[in-house]
Amino acid sequence: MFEMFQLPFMVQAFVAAALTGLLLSYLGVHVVGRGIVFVDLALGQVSSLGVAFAMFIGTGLTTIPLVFTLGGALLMSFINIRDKRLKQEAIIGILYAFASALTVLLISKTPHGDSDIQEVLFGNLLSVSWEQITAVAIAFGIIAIVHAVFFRKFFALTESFENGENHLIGIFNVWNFLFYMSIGLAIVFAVRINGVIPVFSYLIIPAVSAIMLTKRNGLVVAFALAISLVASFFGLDFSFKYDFPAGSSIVTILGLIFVLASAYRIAVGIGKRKPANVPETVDVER
Amino acid sequence: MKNIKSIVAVALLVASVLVANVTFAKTIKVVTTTTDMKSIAEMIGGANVSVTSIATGYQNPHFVDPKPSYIISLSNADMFVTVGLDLETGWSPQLLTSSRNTKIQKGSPGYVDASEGVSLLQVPSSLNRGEGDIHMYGNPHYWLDPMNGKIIARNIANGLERVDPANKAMYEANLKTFDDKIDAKMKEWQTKMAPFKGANIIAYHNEWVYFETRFGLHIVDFMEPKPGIPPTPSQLVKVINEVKSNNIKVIISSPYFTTSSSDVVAKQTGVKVLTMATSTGAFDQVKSYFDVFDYDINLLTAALK
Repeated sequence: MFEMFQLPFMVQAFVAAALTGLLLSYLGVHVVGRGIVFVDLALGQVSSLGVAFAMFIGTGLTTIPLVFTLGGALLMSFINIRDKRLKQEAIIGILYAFASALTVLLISKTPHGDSDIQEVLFGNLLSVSWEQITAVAIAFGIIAIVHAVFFRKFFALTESFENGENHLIGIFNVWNFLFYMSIGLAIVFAVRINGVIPVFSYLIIPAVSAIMLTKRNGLVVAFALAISLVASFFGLDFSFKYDFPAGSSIVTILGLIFVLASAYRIAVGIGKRKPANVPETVDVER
Repeated sequence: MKNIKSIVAVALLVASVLVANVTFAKTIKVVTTTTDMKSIAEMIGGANVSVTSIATGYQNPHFVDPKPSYIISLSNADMFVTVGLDLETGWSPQLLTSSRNTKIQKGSPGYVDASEGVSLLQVPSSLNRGEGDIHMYGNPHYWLDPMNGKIIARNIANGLERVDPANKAMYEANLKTFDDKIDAKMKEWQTKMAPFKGANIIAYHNEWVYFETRFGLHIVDFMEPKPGIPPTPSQLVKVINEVKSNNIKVIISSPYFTTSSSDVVAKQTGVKVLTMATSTGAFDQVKSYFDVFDYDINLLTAALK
Protein backbone atom coordinates (compact mmCIF):
# COMPACT_ATOMS: atom_id res chain seq x y z
CA MET A 1 0.00 0.00 0.00
CA PHE A 2 2.85 2.37 0.80
CA GLU A 3 5.23 1.02 -1.86
CA MET A 4 4.79 4.18 -3.94
CA PHE A 5 6.61 6.13 -1.23
CA GLN A 6 9.83 4.27 -2.03
CA LEU A 7 10.05 6.51 -5.09
CA PRO A 8 11.05 10.12 -4.37
CA PHE A 9 8.84 11.57 -7.13
CA MET A 10 5.74 9.92 -5.65
CA VAL A 11 6.58 11.35 -2.21
CA GLN A 12 6.87 14.81 -3.78
CA ALA A 13 3.61 14.33 -5.68
CA PHE A 14 1.84 13.28 -2.47
CA VAL A 15 3.16 16.22 -0.44
CA ALA A 16 2.12 18.65 -3.18
CA ALA A 17 -1.31 17.02 -3.59
CA ALA A 18 -1.91 16.90 0.18
CA LEU A 19 -0.97 20.58 0.61
CA THR A 20 -3.34 21.72 -2.14
CA GLY A 21 -6.02 19.29 -0.99
CA LEU A 22 -5.98 20.54 2.62
CA LEU A 23 -6.17 24.24 1.76
CA LEU A 24 -8.66 23.91 -1.09
CA SER A 25 -11.03 21.60 0.78
CA TYR A 26 -11.14 24.14 3.62
CA LEU A 27 -11.77 27.06 1.21
CA GLY A 28 -14.32 24.83 -0.50
CA VAL A 29 -16.52 24.84 2.61
CA HIS A 30 -16.83 28.64 2.18
CA VAL A 31 -17.24 28.42 -1.59
CA VAL A 32 -20.04 25.84 -1.36
CA GLY A 33 -21.66 27.77 1.51
CA ARG A 34 -21.74 30.96 -0.53
CA GLY A 35 -23.02 29.11 -3.58
CA ILE A 36 -20.18 30.23 -5.87
CA VAL A 37 -18.82 26.85 -7.01
CA PHE A 38 -17.81 28.16 -10.42
CA VAL A 39 -15.57 30.81 -8.90
CA ASP A 40 -12.67 28.40 -9.32
CA LEU A 41 -13.27 27.68 -13.00
CA ALA A 42 -13.73 31.40 -13.68
CA LEU A 43 -10.53 32.36 -11.84
CA GLY A 44 -8.69 29.41 -13.42
CA GLN A 45 -9.78 30.71 -16.81
CA VAL A 46 -8.68 34.25 -15.93
CA SER A 47 -5.32 32.74 -14.96
CA SER A 48 -4.98 31.02 -18.35
CA LEU A 49 -6.01 34.27 -20.01
CA GLY A 50 -2.99 35.73 -18.17
CA VAL A 51 -0.81 32.93 -19.58
CA ALA A 52 -2.14 33.55 -23.10
CA PHE A 53 -1.47 37.26 -22.71
CA ALA A 54 2.07 36.66 -21.42
CA MET A 55 2.69 34.30 -24.37
CA PHE A 56 1.34 36.89 -26.78
CA ILE A 57 3.60 39.70 -25.56
CA GLY A 58 6.44 37.22 -24.99
CA THR A 59 7.25 37.96 -21.35
CA GLY A 60 5.99 37.77 -17.76
CA LEU A 61 4.87 34.15 -17.70
CA THR A 62 4.85 33.97 -13.90
CA THR A 63 3.76 37.48 -12.90
CA ILE A 64 1.03 38.26 -15.45
CA PRO A 65 -1.24 35.26 -14.64
CA LEU A 66 -0.90 36.11 -10.93
CA VAL A 67 -1.82 39.77 -11.51
CA PHE A 68 -4.74 38.77 -13.76
CA THR A 69 -6.10 36.26 -11.25
CA LEU A 70 -5.86 38.62 -8.28
CA GLY A 71 -7.51 41.31 -10.44
CA GLY A 72 -10.32 38.89 -11.26
CA ALA A 73 -10.70 37.97 -7.59
CA LEU A 74 -10.88 41.66 -6.71
CA LEU A 75 -13.64 42.20 -9.28
CA MET A 76 -15.57 39.24 -7.88
CA SER A 77 -15.32 40.54 -4.34
CA PHE A 78 -17.37 43.57 -5.47
CA ILE A 79 -20.19 41.38 -6.77
CA ASN A 80 -22.94 41.72 -4.21
CA ILE A 81 -26.32 41.30 -5.71
CA ARG A 82 -29.39 42.82 -4.11
CA ASP A 83 -31.77 41.99 -6.93
CA LYS A 84 -33.39 38.68 -5.99
CA ARG A 85 -33.92 37.68 -9.62
CA LEU A 86 -30.16 37.50 -10.17
CA LYS A 87 -27.68 35.04 -8.72
CA GLN A 88 -23.97 35.71 -8.16
CA GLU A 89 -23.22 32.51 -10.08
CA ALA A 90 -24.59 34.09 -13.26
CA ILE A 91 -22.09 36.96 -13.11
CA ILE A 92 -19.25 34.50 -12.42
CA GLY A 93 -20.39 32.46 -15.42
CA ILE A 94 -20.24 35.55 -17.63
CA LEU A 95 -16.68 36.24 -16.44
CA TYR A 96 -15.78 32.62 -17.26
CA ALA A 97 -17.17 32.81 -20.80
CA PHE A 98 -15.63 36.22 -21.45
CA ALA A 99 -12.17 35.15 -20.24
CA SER A 100 -12.39 31.91 -22.27
CA ALA A 101 -13.25 33.81 -25.46
CA LEU A 102 -10.38 36.29 -24.96
CA THR A 103 -8.00 33.37 -24.34
CA VAL A 104 -9.06 31.72 -27.61
CA LEU A 105 -8.55 35.00 -29.49
CA LEU A 106 -5.05 35.47 -28.07
CA ILE A 107 -4.03 31.83 -28.64
CA SER A 108 -5.11 32.04 -32.28
CA LYS A 109 -2.39 34.65 -32.81
CA THR A 110 0.32 32.87 -30.77
CA PRO A 111 2.31 29.97 -32.33
CA HIS A 112 2.06 26.79 -30.23
CA GLY A 113 0.03 28.84 -27.75
CA ASP A 114 -2.29 25.96 -26.96
CA SER A 115 0.61 23.79 -25.82
CA ASP A 116 1.70 26.44 -23.31
CA ILE A 117 -1.86 26.78 -22.05
CA GLN A 118 -2.12 22.99 -21.72
CA GLU A 119 1.02 22.91 -19.65
CA VAL A 120 -0.50 25.40 -17.20
CA LEU A 121 -3.98 23.86 -17.20
CA PHE A 122 -2.94 20.26 -16.64
CA GLY A 123 -0.13 20.80 -14.17
CA ASN A 124 2.88 18.63 -13.48
CA LEU A 125 2.09 16.75 -10.27
CA LEU A 126 4.45 13.86 -11.11
CA SER A 127 7.44 16.08 -11.82
CA VAL A 128 6.92 18.72 -9.14
CA SER A 129 10.19 19.81 -7.47
CA TRP A 130 10.88 20.52 -3.78
CA GLU A 131 11.45 24.19 -4.72
CA GLN A 132 7.91 24.39 -6.14
CA ILE A 133 6.54 22.61 -3.06
CA THR A 134 8.34 25.07 -0.76
CA ALA A 135 6.92 28.07 -2.64
CA VAL A 136 3.42 26.60 -2.47
CA ALA A 137 3.82 25.71 1.22
CA ILE A 138 4.79 29.31 2.06
CA ALA A 139 1.90 30.84 0.07
CA PHE A 140 -0.63 28.35 1.44
CA GLY A 141 0.78 28.69 4.96
CA ILE A 142 0.13 32.44 4.94
CA ILE A 143 -3.44 31.93 3.70
CA ALA A 144 -4.02 29.21 6.31
CA ILE A 145 -2.72 31.41 9.14
CA VAL A 146 -4.97 34.34 8.13
CA HIS A 147 -7.97 32.01 8.04
CA ALA A 148 -7.06 30.30 11.30
CA VAL A 149 -6.69 33.60 13.16
CA PHE A 150 -9.88 35.17 11.76
CA PHE A 151 -11.84 31.90 11.59
CA ARG A 152 -14.99 33.48 13.07
CA LYS A 153 -14.98 36.53 10.77
CA PHE A 154 -14.82 34.40 7.63
CA PHE A 155 -17.49 31.97 8.77
CA ALA A 156 -19.82 34.78 9.89
CA LEU A 157 -19.53 36.22 6.38
CA THR A 158 -20.21 32.89 4.69
CA GLU A 159 -23.23 32.31 6.94
CA SER A 160 -24.66 35.68 5.98
CA PHE A 161 -24.49 34.56 2.33
CA GLU A 162 -26.04 31.21 3.25
CA ASN A 163 -28.92 32.96 5.01
CA GLY A 164 -29.45 35.47 2.23
CA GLU A 165 -28.42 38.38 4.43
CA ASN A 166 -25.63 39.49 2.12
CA HIS A 167 -27.42 42.79 1.40
CA LEU A 168 -26.33 43.85 4.88
CA ILE A 169 -22.69 43.79 3.74
CA GLY A 170 -21.31 47.00 2.24
CA ILE A 171 -19.83 47.34 -1.25
CA PHE A 172 -16.35 47.00 0.14
CA ASN A 173 -15.95 44.56 2.99
CA VAL A 174 -12.38 43.85 4.03
CA TRP A 175 -13.16 40.20 4.94
CA ASN A 176 -14.90 39.61 1.66
CA PHE A 177 -11.89 41.12 -0.12
CA LEU A 178 -9.46 38.93 1.86
CA PHE A 179 -11.57 35.86 1.13
CA TYR A 180 -11.43 36.40 -2.64
CA MET A 181 -7.71 37.21 -2.50
CA SER A 182 -7.03 33.93 -0.70
CA ILE A 183 -9.12 32.01 -3.25
CA GLY A 184 -7.28 33.75 -6.11
CA LEU A 185 -3.81 33.06 -4.68
CA ALA A 186 -4.66 29.46 -3.81
CA ILE A 187 -5.96 28.79 -7.32
CA VAL A 188 -2.97 30.30 -9.15
CA PHE A 189 -0.52 28.16 -7.18
CA ALA A 190 -2.65 25.03 -7.08
CA VAL A 191 -3.46 25.06 -10.82
CA ARG A 192 0.24 25.24 -11.78
CA ILE A 193 0.87 21.97 -9.98
CA ASN A 194 -2.40 20.05 -10.18
CA GLY A 195 -4.28 21.40 -13.20
CA VAL A 196 -7.72 23.02 -13.41
CA ILE A 197 -10.03 20.02 -13.06
CA PRO A 198 -8.26 18.49 -10.02
CA VAL A 199 -8.27 21.93 -8.36
CA PHE A 200 -12.01 22.32 -8.99
CA SER A 201 -12.60 18.84 -7.56
CA TYR A 202 -10.46 19.47 -4.46
CA LEU A 203 -12.40 22.66 -3.84
CA ILE A 204 -15.93 21.30 -4.26
CA ILE A 205 -16.10 17.53 -3.69
CA PRO A 206 -14.68 17.27 -0.11
CA ALA A 207 -16.89 20.16 1.05
CA VAL A 208 -20.08 18.78 -0.55
CA SER A 209 -19.38 15.23 0.70
CA ALA A 210 -18.67 16.52 4.22
CA ILE A 211 -21.93 18.49 4.27
CA MET A 212 -23.74 15.28 3.32
CA LEU A 213 -22.07 13.40 6.17
CA THR A 214 -22.69 15.82 9.05
CA LYS A 215 -24.75 18.83 10.09
CA ARG A 216 -22.22 20.34 12.51
CA ASN A 217 -20.11 23.17 11.06
CA GLY A 218 -16.88 22.27 12.85
CA LEU A 219 -17.16 18.66 11.74
CA VAL A 220 -17.82 19.68 8.12
CA VAL A 221 -14.38 21.32 7.99
CA ALA A 222 -12.71 18.35 9.68
CA PHE A 223 -14.39 15.86 7.33
CA ALA A 224 -13.51 17.92 4.25
CA LEU A 225 -9.83 18.03 5.28
CA ALA A 226 -9.80 14.29 5.95
CA ILE A 227 -11.47 13.50 2.62
CA SER A 228 -8.90 15.57 0.71
CA LEU A 229 -6.05 13.67 2.38
CA VAL A 230 -7.63 10.26 1.78
CA ALA A 231 -8.29 11.13 -1.87
CA SER A 232 -4.73 12.41 -2.40
CA PHE A 233 -3.30 9.18 -1.03
CA PHE A 234 -5.60 6.72 -2.79
CA GLY A 235 -5.64 8.78 -5.99
CA LEU A 236 -1.85 8.63 -6.28
CA ASP A 237 -1.84 4.99 -5.20
CA PHE A 238 -4.32 4.26 -8.01
CA SER A 239 -2.22 6.23 -10.49
CA PHE A 240 0.92 4.40 -9.36
CA LYS A 241 -0.55 0.87 -9.38
CA TYR A 242 -2.42 1.06 -12.67
CA ASP A 243 -0.28 3.68 -14.41
CA PHE A 244 -2.75 6.51 -15.00
CA PRO A 245 -2.13 10.28 -15.16
CA ALA A 246 -2.04 11.50 -11.55
CA GLY A 247 -4.52 14.40 -11.66
CA SER A 248 -7.36 12.43 -13.23
CA SER A 249 -6.80 9.54 -10.81
CA ILE A 250 -7.26 11.86 -7.82
CA VAL A 251 -10.44 13.31 -9.34
CA THR A 252 -11.77 9.78 -9.89
CA ILE A 253 -11.22 8.86 -6.23
CA LEU A 254 -12.84 12.14 -5.11
CA GLY A 255 -15.83 11.28 -7.31
CA LEU A 256 -16.11 7.84 -5.70
CA ILE A 257 -16.00 9.40 -2.22
CA PHE A 258 -18.86 11.68 -3.25
CA VAL A 259 -20.89 8.65 -4.42
CA LEU A 260 -20.26 6.91 -1.06
CA ALA A 261 -21.26 10.05 0.87
CA SER A 262 -24.47 10.31 -1.18
CA ALA A 263 -25.24 6.65 -0.53
CA TYR A 264 -24.71 7.24 3.22
CA ARG A 265 -26.99 10.28 3.13
CA ILE A 266 -29.73 8.34 1.35
CA ALA A 267 -29.38 5.38 3.73
CA VAL A 268 -29.59 7.63 6.79
CA GLY A 269 -32.53 9.49 5.25
CA ILE A 270 -34.46 6.25 4.76
CA GLY A 271 -33.57 5.05 8.26
CA LYS A 272 -34.76 8.26 9.87
CA ARG A 273 -37.94 8.69 7.90
CA LYS A 274 -39.90 5.72 9.20
CA PRO A 275 -40.12 6.50 12.92
CA ALA A 276 -40.48 10.25 12.40
CA ASN A 277 -43.93 11.77 12.33
CA VAL A 278 -43.03 15.28 11.30
CA PRO A 279 -45.28 16.66 8.52
CA GLU A 280 -42.48 17.45 6.08
CA THR A 281 -41.11 13.90 6.08
CA VAL A 282 -44.61 12.54 5.57
CA ASP A 283 -44.79 14.83 2.61
CA VAL A 284 -41.65 13.30 1.15
CA GLU A 285 -42.90 9.76 1.69
CA ARG A 286 -45.97 10.42 -0.31
CA MET B 1 6.80 -36.07 1.88
CA LYS B 2 4.75 -32.93 1.43
CA ASN B 3 7.49 -30.91 3.11
CA ILE B 4 10.21 -32.24 0.84
CA LYS B 5 8.11 -31.37 -2.21
CA SER B 6 7.58 -27.82 -1.08
CA ILE B 7 11.26 -27.40 -0.18
CA VAL B 8 12.23 -28.60 -3.65
CA ALA B 9 9.69 -26.25 -5.20
CA VAL B 10 11.01 -23.28 -3.22
CA ALA B 11 14.60 -24.19 -4.07
CA LEU B 12 13.75 -24.40 -7.77
CA LEU B 13 11.99 -21.08 -7.60
CA VAL B 14 14.95 -19.40 -5.89
CA ALA B 15 17.33 -20.97 -8.41
CA SER B 16 15.28 -19.82 -11.37
CA VAL B 17 15.11 -16.28 -9.99
CA LEU B 18 18.90 -16.29 -9.56
CA VAL B 19 19.45 -17.59 -13.08
CA ALA B 20 16.99 -15.06 -14.45
CA ASN B 21 18.81 -12.26 -12.65
CA VAL B 22 22.14 -13.32 -14.10
CA THR B 23 20.80 -13.38 -17.67
CA PHE B 24 18.85 -10.13 -17.23
CA ALA B 25 21.86 -8.37 -15.77
CA LYS B 26 23.43 -8.41 -19.23
CA THR B 27 20.48 -6.70 -20.92
CA ILE B 28 20.99 -2.99 -21.45
CA LYS B 29 17.80 -1.11 -20.60
CA VAL B 30 17.22 1.72 -23.05
CA VAL B 31 14.42 4.30 -22.79
CA THR B 32 13.73 6.51 -25.80
CA THR B 33 11.41 9.50 -26.11
CA THR B 34 9.91 8.43 -29.45
CA THR B 35 9.20 5.19 -31.32
CA ASP B 36 11.61 5.93 -34.17
CA MET B 37 14.49 6.12 -31.72
CA LYS B 38 13.21 2.85 -30.21
CA SER B 39 13.06 1.12 -33.58
CA ILE B 40 16.63 2.16 -34.49
CA ALA B 41 17.97 1.35 -30.99
CA GLU B 42 16.50 -2.16 -31.28
CA MET B 43 18.20 -2.70 -34.63
CA ILE B 44 21.59 -1.52 -33.30
CA GLY B 45 21.36 -3.19 -29.89
CA GLY B 46 19.95 -6.49 -31.12
CA ALA B 47 19.26 -9.11 -28.45
CA ASN B 48 21.48 -7.23 -26.00
CA VAL B 49 19.01 -4.45 -25.29
CA SER B 50 15.44 -4.03 -24.15
CA VAL B 51 14.01 -0.76 -25.42
CA THR B 52 10.90 1.14 -24.34
CA SER B 53 9.59 4.35 -25.84
CA ILE B 54 7.72 6.97 -23.81
CA ALA B 55 5.65 8.51 -26.61
CA THR B 56 3.52 6.39 -28.92
CA GLY B 57 3.81 6.63 -32.70
CA TYR B 58 0.43 8.31 -33.19
CA GLN B 59 0.98 10.95 -30.53
CA ASN B 60 2.20 14.49 -31.17
CA PRO B 61 5.75 14.30 -29.70
CA HIS B 62 5.45 17.93 -28.55
CA PHE B 63 2.89 16.93 -25.88
CA VAL B 64 3.06 13.87 -23.60
CA ASP B 65 0.99 13.48 -20.43
CA PRO B 66 3.30 12.14 -17.67
CA LYS B 67 2.47 8.78 -16.05
CA PRO B 68 4.29 7.16 -13.09
CA SER B 69 5.60 4.31 -15.28
CA TYR B 70 7.58 6.75 -17.45
CA ILE B 71 9.58 7.95 -14.46
CA ILE B 72 9.98 4.41 -13.12
CA SER B 73 11.35 3.08 -16.41
CA LEU B 74 13.70 6.08 -16.61
CA SER B 75 14.98 5.47 -13.09
CA ASN B 76 15.90 1.87 -14.04
CA ALA B 77 17.39 2.74 -17.44
CA ASP B 78 21.02 2.32 -18.48
CA MET B 79 20.63 4.61 -21.48
CA PHE B 80 18.29 7.40 -22.60
CA VAL B 81 17.81 8.50 -26.22
CA THR B 82 16.20 11.83 -27.07
CA VAL B 83 15.36 13.28 -30.49
CA GLY B 84 16.68 16.52 -29.03
CA LEU B 85 16.60 20.14 -30.24
CA ASP B 86 13.40 21.32 -28.63
CA LEU B 87 11.00 18.59 -29.76
CA GLU B 88 10.39 17.20 -26.27
CA THR B 89 11.25 20.21 -24.07
CA GLY B 90 7.71 20.27 -22.68
CA TRP B 91 8.06 16.96 -20.85
CA SER B 92 11.31 14.97 -21.15
CA PRO B 93 13.67 17.18 -19.05
CA GLN B 94 11.15 17.15 -16.17
CA LEU B 95 10.76 13.36 -16.32
CA LEU B 96 14.54 12.95 -16.50
CA THR B 97 15.03 15.09 -13.38
CA SER B 98 12.29 13.24 -11.49
CA SER B 99 13.94 9.88 -12.30
CA ARG B 100 17.05 10.90 -10.31
CA ASN B 101 19.02 8.40 -12.38
CA THR B 102 22.55 9.81 -12.62
CA LYS B 103 23.49 7.35 -15.42
CA ILE B 104 21.24 9.05 -17.97
CA GLN B 105 21.33 12.75 -17.09
CA LYS B 106 22.55 15.22 -19.70
CA GLY B 107 26.34 14.83 -20.03
CA SER B 108 26.42 11.30 -18.54
CA PRO B 109 27.61 8.37 -20.72
CA GLY B 110 24.05 7.01 -20.86
CA TYR B 111 22.57 10.20 -22.36
CA VAL B 112 22.22 10.14 -26.14
CA ASP B 113 21.10 13.19 -28.12
CA ALA B 114 20.33 11.61 -31.50
CA SER B 115 20.46 14.97 -33.30
CA GLU B 116 24.22 15.32 -32.81
CA GLY B 117 25.83 15.90 -36.20
CA VAL B 118 22.60 16.30 -38.18
CA SER B 119 22.67 19.19 -40.68
CA LEU B 120 19.66 21.11 -39.48
CA LEU B 121 17.25 22.93 -41.74
CA GLN B 122 15.31 26.12 -41.04
CA VAL B 123 17.60 27.37 -38.30
CA PRO B 124 16.18 30.81 -37.53
CA SER B 125 18.48 33.79 -38.01
CA SER B 126 16.71 35.69 -35.26
CA LEU B 127 14.32 34.18 -32.75
CA ASN B 128 10.88 35.71 -33.06
CA ARG B 129 8.03 33.83 -31.49
CA GLY B 130 5.49 35.95 -33.33
CA GLU B 131 6.76 34.53 -36.63
CA GLY B 132 6.38 30.98 -35.40
CA ASP B 133 10.11 30.38 -35.08
CA ILE B 134 9.73 28.55 -31.83
CA HIS B 135 12.31 25.96 -32.84
CA MET B 136 15.34 28.01 -31.93
CA TYR B 137 17.84 25.29 -32.97
CA GLY B 138 16.19 24.47 -36.29
CA ASN B 139 13.37 22.19 -37.42
CA PRO B 140 13.41 19.12 -35.10
CA HIS B 141 11.58 16.66 -37.40
CA TYR B 142 14.89 15.48 -38.90
CA TRP B 143 14.22 11.72 -38.63
CA LEU B 144 11.90 12.04 -41.65
CA ASP B 145 14.99 11.98 -43.90
CA PRO B 146 16.23 8.34 -44.04
CA MET B 147 19.81 9.54 -44.45
CA ASN B 148 19.53 11.21 -41.05
CA GLY B 149 18.47 7.77 -39.77
CA LYS B 150 22.10 6.76 -40.28
CA ILE B 151 23.30 9.63 -38.06
CA ILE B 152 20.75 8.68 -35.39
CA ALA B 153 21.98 5.06 -35.58
CA ARG B 154 25.62 6.22 -35.25
CA ASN B 155 24.77 8.28 -32.14
CA ILE B 156 22.88 5.37 -30.58
CA ALA B 157 25.75 2.97 -31.35
CA ASN B 158 28.19 5.43 -29.69
CA GLY B 159 25.96 5.50 -26.61
CA LEU B 160 25.70 1.71 -26.40
CA GLU B 161 29.48 1.40 -26.76
CA ARG B 162 29.99 3.86 -23.88
CA VAL B 163 27.55 1.97 -21.65
CA ASP B 164 28.59 -1.54 -22.74
CA PRO B 165 32.12 -1.40 -24.25
CA ALA B 166 32.47 -5.21 -24.16
CA ASN B 167 30.04 -5.63 -27.06
CA LYS B 168 31.42 -2.89 -29.27
CA ALA B 169 32.11 -5.23 -32.20
CA MET B 170 28.51 -6.43 -32.25
CA TYR B 171 27.07 -2.89 -32.20
CA GLU B 172 29.40 -1.87 -35.01
CA ALA B 173 28.31 -4.89 -37.07
CA ASN B 174 24.63 -4.08 -36.47
CA LEU B 175 25.28 -0.46 -37.43
CA LYS B 176 26.86 -1.61 -40.70
CA THR B 177 23.83 -3.82 -41.44
CA PHE B 178 21.50 -0.90 -40.69
CA ASP B 179 23.42 1.53 -42.92
CA ASP B 180 23.52 -1.00 -45.76
CA LYS B 181 19.78 -1.52 -45.48
CA ILE B 182 19.14 2.23 -45.55
CA ASP B 183 21.31 2.54 -48.68
CA ALA B 184 19.49 -0.33 -50.40
CA LYS B 185 16.03 0.96 -49.43
CA MET B 186 17.05 4.49 -50.38
CA LYS B 187 17.56 3.41 -54.01
CA GLU B 188 14.13 1.79 -54.03
CA TRP B 189 12.46 4.88 -52.51
CA GLN B 190 14.26 7.30 -54.84
CA THR B 191 13.20 5.24 -57.87
CA LYS B 192 9.59 5.29 -56.75
CA MET B 193 9.63 9.03 -56.10
CA ALA B 194 11.63 9.96 -59.23
CA PRO B 195 8.59 10.54 -61.52
CA PHE B 196 7.20 13.08 -59.02
CA LYS B 197 10.27 15.24 -58.65
CA GLY B 198 9.26 18.86 -58.11
CA ALA B 199 5.59 17.94 -57.47
CA ASN B 200 3.73 20.72 -55.68
CA ILE B 201 1.99 19.75 -52.43
CA ILE B 202 0.45 21.38 -49.36
CA ALA B 203 1.38 20.26 -45.82
CA TYR B 204 -0.66 20.78 -42.66
CA HIS B 205 2.24 21.49 -40.28
CA ASN B 206 5.85 22.40 -40.98
CA GLU B 207 7.30 18.97 -40.14
CA TRP B 208 8.11 17.64 -43.61
CA VAL B 209 11.03 19.83 -44.65
CA TYR B 210 13.61 16.99 -44.38
CA PHE B 211 11.38 14.57 -46.28
CA GLU B 212 10.62 17.26 -48.89
CA THR B 213 14.30 18.07 -49.42
CA ARG B 214 15.38 14.43 -49.68
CA PHE B 215 12.71 13.33 -52.15
CA GLY B 216 12.54 16.50 -54.23
CA LEU B 217 8.98 17.52 -53.44
CA HIS B 218 7.90 21.14 -53.27
CA ILE B 219 5.72 22.23 -50.35
CA VAL B 220 3.92 25.32 -51.61
CA ASP B 221 2.18 26.27 -48.37
CA PHE B 222 0.92 25.01 -45.03
CA MET B 223 -2.64 24.68 -43.72
CA GLU B 224 -1.40 26.40 -40.58
CA PRO B 225 -0.80 30.11 -41.25
CA LYS B 226 2.15 29.92 -38.83
CA PRO B 227 3.48 26.71 -37.20
CA GLY B 228 1.18 25.78 -34.32
CA ILE B 229 -1.63 28.19 -35.26
CA PRO B 230 -4.77 26.34 -36.45
CA PRO B 231 -5.98 27.20 -39.98
CA THR B 232 -7.82 30.53 -40.19
CA PRO B 233 -10.50 31.43 -42.78
CA SER B 234 -8.11 33.67 -44.74
CA GLN B 235 -5.48 30.90 -44.83
CA LEU B 236 -8.10 28.46 -46.18
CA VAL B 237 -8.95 30.90 -48.98
CA LYS B 238 -5.24 31.35 -49.74
CA VAL B 239 -4.62 27.57 -49.85
CA ILE B 240 -7.69 26.98 -52.05
CA ASN B 241 -6.39 29.52 -54.58
CA GLU B 242 -2.89 28.01 -54.48
CA VAL B 243 -4.28 24.50 -55.02
CA LYS B 244 -6.27 25.71 -58.04
CA SER B 245 -3.51 27.78 -59.67
CA ASN B 246 -0.68 25.24 -59.12
CA ASN B 247 -2.73 22.13 -59.90
CA ILE B 248 -1.84 20.66 -56.50
CA LYS B 249 -2.97 17.07 -55.99
CA VAL B 250 -2.39 16.35 -52.29
CA ILE B 251 -2.39 17.81 -48.80
CA ILE B 252 -0.25 15.80 -46.36
CA SER B 253 -1.13 15.70 -42.67
CA SER B 254 -0.30 13.62 -39.56
CA PRO B 255 -2.40 11.31 -37.33
CA TYR B 256 -2.53 13.86 -34.49
CA PHE B 257 -3.97 16.75 -36.51
CA THR B 258 -7.65 17.02 -37.41
CA THR B 259 -8.27 16.89 -41.15
CA SER B 260 -11.50 18.94 -40.96
CA SER B 261 -10.03 22.12 -42.47
CA SER B 262 -8.06 20.13 -45.09
CA ASP B 263 -11.36 18.41 -45.97
CA VAL B 264 -12.89 21.83 -46.66
CA VAL B 265 -10.14 22.49 -49.22
CA ALA B 266 -10.62 18.98 -50.62
CA LYS B 267 -14.37 19.56 -51.16
CA GLN B 268 -13.75 22.86 -52.94
CA THR B 269 -10.91 21.68 -55.17
CA GLY B 270 -10.84 17.88 -55.36
CA VAL B 271 -7.39 17.71 -53.75
CA LYS B 272 -6.63 14.48 -51.82
CA VAL B 273 -5.93 14.62 -48.06
CA LEU B 274 -3.28 12.05 -47.01
CA THR B 275 -2.68 11.22 -43.36
CA MET B 276 0.97 10.16 -43.47
CA ALA B 277 3.02 8.33 -40.86
CA THR B 278 5.34 10.71 -39.00
CA SER B 279 6.73 8.00 -36.71
CA THR B 280 7.04 4.24 -36.25
CA GLY B 281 3.75 2.92 -34.91
CA ALA B 282 1.66 5.74 -36.39
CA PHE B 283 -0.52 2.99 -37.89
CA ASP B 284 -0.66 -0.75 -37.16
CA GLN B 285 1.25 -1.71 -40.29
CA VAL B 286 4.08 0.80 -39.63
CA LYS B 287 6.18 -1.46 -37.42
CA SER B 288 9.71 -0.15 -37.93
CA TYR B 289 11.60 2.97 -38.97
CA PHE B 290 11.81 1.56 -42.54
CA ASP B 291 8.05 1.04 -42.66
CA VAL B 292 7.52 4.80 -42.10
CA PHE B 293 9.02 5.57 -45.51
CA ASP B 294 7.49 2.52 -47.22
CA TYR B 295 4.07 3.61 -45.99
CA ASP B 296 4.42 7.31 -46.82
CA ILE B 297 5.99 6.79 -50.24
CA ASN B 298 3.38 4.22 -51.28
CA LEU B 299 0.61 6.59 -50.17
CA LEU B 300 2.15 9.59 -51.95
CA THR B 301 3.01 7.87 -55.24
CA ALA B 302 -0.51 6.39 -55.45
CA ALA B 303 -2.09 9.81 -54.91
CA LEU B 304 0.26 11.80 -57.19
CA LYS B 305 -0.19 9.48 -60.21
